[in-house]
Amino acid sequence: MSLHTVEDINDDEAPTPQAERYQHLANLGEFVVLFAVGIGGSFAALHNRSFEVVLGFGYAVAIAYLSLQFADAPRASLFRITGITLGVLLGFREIFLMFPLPIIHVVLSLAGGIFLCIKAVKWFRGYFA
Amino acid sequence: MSQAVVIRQLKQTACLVGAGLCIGGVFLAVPDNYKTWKFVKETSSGLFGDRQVETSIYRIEEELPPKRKPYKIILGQSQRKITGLVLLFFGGNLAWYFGQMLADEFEVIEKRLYKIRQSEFLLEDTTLRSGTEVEQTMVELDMFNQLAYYQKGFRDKSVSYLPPDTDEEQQPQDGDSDKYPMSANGFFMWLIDRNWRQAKVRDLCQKSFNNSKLPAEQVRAFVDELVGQKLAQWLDEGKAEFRLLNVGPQTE
Repeated sequence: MSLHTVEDINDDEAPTPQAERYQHLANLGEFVVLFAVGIGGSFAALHNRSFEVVLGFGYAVAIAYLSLQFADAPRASLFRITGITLGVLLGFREIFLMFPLPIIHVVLSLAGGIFLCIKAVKWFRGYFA
Repeated sequence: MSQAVVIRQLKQTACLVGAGLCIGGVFLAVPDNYKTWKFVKETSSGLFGDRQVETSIYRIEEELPPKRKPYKIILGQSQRKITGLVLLFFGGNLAWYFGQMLADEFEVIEKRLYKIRQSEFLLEDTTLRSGTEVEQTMVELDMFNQLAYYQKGFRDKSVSYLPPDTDEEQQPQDGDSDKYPMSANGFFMWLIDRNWRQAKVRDLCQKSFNNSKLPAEQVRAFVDELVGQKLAQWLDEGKAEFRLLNVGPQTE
């Protein structure tokens, strides 16, 4: 690489450790906000059983919205889905007192289902694009 | 400290406090149950008259079936979990907002610093290159000089390679051999060159003007002419001494 003028200097690949550090903190904050939304919905559903239906619909709508890609390209949609799903699961955890099902099986099943859905959506997009 | 730095430190503090609230809120909001649950054992007779015992779980507000008593109760921690939830939401928003702001700021700052550093390298390279060129030119000049030195021994002495110097013929003449015109102006120039601003006619008659002595009448005639031009002034009625007018202070 030969530099002759200041205009030849390309700062696209410049190392930005401080900015990356705060970007990680911002991502943590975003994850935690979605996690708190999920856990709060679970608490509402536990507080009043009528909210269980609302929680289910809201969860489905949230996953559908986060799976979509708009012109302004939502960043890290799988990351956001993970945050909201983890919040719902950990908030609604005590429902598994009634169903003697190992929680790890439920988690793995849900994660596998979400993964397969995403793969299917991508395949359909590529197929019809 | 500048205001921008203080504001950035406040943002960093808010971001870190938000991250701390996130971590603390997880430990408050996640463990234990939200509701209080009652465990009841229920017995029923099977198809062939055998007794089957199964466990049922009820919420605290639900009524138990008749003649049943809970054998176990799990207490809920709703208040603590809601506190943790509030901390999570608040801290998450803090860390998200200020972290994103600081990430954008630091990206610009670090990219500018990178460009400044790279331009320093560029300046160093340019300086080194210029120095190398100068050094190469000096080496070449040195070689030409040596070549000319060795060529001197083979020159034809009778041929003049350079035109003759004419500077030595135009030596300026100084001292008493100056030539001044035989007029009032020449007399004035002579006085100025000798740096005499005030003099007596008798003294001037002893001095050498164009390698000869001026008679007193001639000196008085010149001074009268200068008085007519307002360049001199008699200091007495007998015209024995005069001084020059409108001439700057004496110089070395």
